[in-house]
Amino acid sequence: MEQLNKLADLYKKGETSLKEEQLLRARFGDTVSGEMAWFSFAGKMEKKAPGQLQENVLSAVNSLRQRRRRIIVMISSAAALAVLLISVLVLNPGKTAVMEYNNKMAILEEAINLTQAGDAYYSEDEVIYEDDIIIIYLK
Amino acid sequence: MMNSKEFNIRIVSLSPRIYPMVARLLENDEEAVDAVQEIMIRLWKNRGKLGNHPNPEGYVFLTARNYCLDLLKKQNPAKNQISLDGNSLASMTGNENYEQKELFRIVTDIINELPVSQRDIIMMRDIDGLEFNEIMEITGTRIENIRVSLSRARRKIGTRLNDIYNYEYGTIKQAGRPL
Repeated sequence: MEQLNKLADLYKKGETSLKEEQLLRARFGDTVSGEMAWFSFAGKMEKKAPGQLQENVLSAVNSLRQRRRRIIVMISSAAALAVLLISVLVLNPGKTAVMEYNNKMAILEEAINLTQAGDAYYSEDEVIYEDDIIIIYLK
Repeated sequence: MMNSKEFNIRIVSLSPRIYPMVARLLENDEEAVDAVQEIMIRLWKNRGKLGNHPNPEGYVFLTARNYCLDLLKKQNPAKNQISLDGNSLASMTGNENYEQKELFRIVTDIINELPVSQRDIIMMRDIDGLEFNEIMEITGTRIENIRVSLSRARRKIGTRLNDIYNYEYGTIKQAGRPL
């Protein structure tokens, strides 16, 4: 009890962690009068996320990614990787903001000709570079 | 730029943590589920900024809060402050006893009397479960100052609750005394 009182003092000072605050809420969550009743109110007000929320959000974000047409490039050799990475760096929007889109695509297509490109399946673990235009993965 | 894998691990995984704040602000659980999805899609589209941000997790909470406030403003342009009236009622299941309903009414009144900054901070911390660095990103206030505001709000609520319940208890005791 003494430890709980110390924790309650720290709580009032704003010096407890979320984990410690959970302990206080577990202990005083049923109190319906006096200062500790705040924990009962806070517990009741707290909203819990539905169980499948994260999975649903993930599939919504994934479907957005798939709707965007992008060039997916599979790299199988170090030389091809070097050529592609250099091309991608040249296309870096921060450095070439004024470069025409057609010029960018021409450079990129030249680099892609040295590799295998298409709508291939790839694992996210294999991705070595990704932006709005291109995904490069290593096999 | 943050890639898909990193985005899923660091950002999408925060969905269950932003949900309580979104649901509280929107006062509608179903709308909150759609909102969390929309917020994550916005963040994905804006991941260039997110990857370079010094506090990406805090930025997620800031984006979520701004999204909700924009939505609320569109729904009710006259509303410029978040009060607790609807929230408290929405959180009640109908199975509460008289004491719990009374407590809700009392605490709602006390919270609505707090200065806006203290009210926001205590709600974000004690109801939504945000870390201090996440509150810092939303409020633009240093952590030490957040702790001070939080402490003041907690003490005020505690003192008021003690006063109210001690007064009521005293009244009951007095009423029971023989003349």
